[in-house]
Amino acid sequence: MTNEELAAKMQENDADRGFFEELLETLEAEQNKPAEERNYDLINEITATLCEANGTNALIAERKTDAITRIMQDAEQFKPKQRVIRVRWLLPIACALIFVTSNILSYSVFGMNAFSAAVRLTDGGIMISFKDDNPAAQSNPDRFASEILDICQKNGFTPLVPQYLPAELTPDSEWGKVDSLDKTTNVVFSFAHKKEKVIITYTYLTDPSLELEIGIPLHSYENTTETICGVSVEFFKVNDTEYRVVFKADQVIYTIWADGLDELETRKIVYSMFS
Amino acid sequence: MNRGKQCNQIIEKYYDEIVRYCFFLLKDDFRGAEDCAHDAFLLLLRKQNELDLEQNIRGWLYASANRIVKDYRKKQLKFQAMLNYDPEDMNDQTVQAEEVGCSDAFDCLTDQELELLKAYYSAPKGERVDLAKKYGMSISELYKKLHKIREKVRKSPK
Repeated sequence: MTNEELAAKMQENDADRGFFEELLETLEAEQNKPAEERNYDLINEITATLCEANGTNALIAERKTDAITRIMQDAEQFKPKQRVIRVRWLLPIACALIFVTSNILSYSVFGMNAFSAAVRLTDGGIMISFKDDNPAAQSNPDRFASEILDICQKNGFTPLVPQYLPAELTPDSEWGKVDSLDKTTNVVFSFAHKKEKVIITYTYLTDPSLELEIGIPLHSYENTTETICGVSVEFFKVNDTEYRVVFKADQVIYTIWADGLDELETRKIVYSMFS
Repeated sequence: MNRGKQCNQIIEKYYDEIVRYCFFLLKDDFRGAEDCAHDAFLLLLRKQNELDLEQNIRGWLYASANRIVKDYRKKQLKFQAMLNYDPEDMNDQTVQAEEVGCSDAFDCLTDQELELLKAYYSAPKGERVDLAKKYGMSISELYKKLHKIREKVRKSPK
């Protein structure tokens, strides 16, 4: 091809039309193949070229962050898939020491927020005393425990109460809320500090024969079951800073939501309820 | 890895190409393409516990986008062929007739660039896309290279 011929060709206004037509034909051909035979890299390459040509790539890039945010927000509004936990009722008897001990020791090995625990088996059950390696963070063991006990007793039951809570947490607006229903009484104690939140819900079964199912909305989680003082405790790890814990002791179902806390802190709260 | 995190990574990775794919299927309806891609990823999040997120999730996304676009089209009753676009709408993508005054305008190009340009314009229908392979580049790279070459010619003082 001579330069003159090239110049003439380039002056044809639809010179690129042929190229884009070819791209589209290639794309259509790929589309018409069975799904398992399609070359998605080629499809992606061609659509990227077409979109580059008409400025769509720039538009996609400009709007991408907001678009993904909207997707995630819309996903939150689904009715979440409920994981229904049937809490097994076990008679409170002398406890299984080994589970708790081995779990505590494993935390020391991994060096997480280390604390050492002295565990004693007594006739009445397990005594767990926590000695935090960071004494400044240790909370007053009686912090809120007596108030929680008092409010619950006024509503007809005596629960297990946490002897440990992270020092920075303070009660928020949901603290001490009581909801009396036909066969249950719910009492909620909610604590918060910046992004940390702990909600302890006591569901007292006024009818002891009632078998209750609790639905905890969780999209994804890891579940472990531990026995503490004869009580089967379900731990649900949503992510590294989100935990849900459920167990039943006597006529009370305990649901603990911990957000912004790591696993160790969550477990300390739960174990302290059995001490 | 937590399934939620996996889904987030999948969305970040495939968002652009699924929107482009929907845009191709819907021709020039960008908002529709965004909506359909949005629905495809929403479906991914809703079904994450049922899907194998590590095996061919890309194929699943394309198939879902396909179905969603079909439904969208039915609702919208809208079909505009991309070939109906006016080439003159594509700014600077073609060289205007008066801008290639004479063949000396190509003096600004290297031998390889001139060779590529000639190969492109003399290729028969159906073979321009294959040029990419021949010159060891992707289709996108070929297109961008040609665009750059044409710009050089357009700006040439001759």
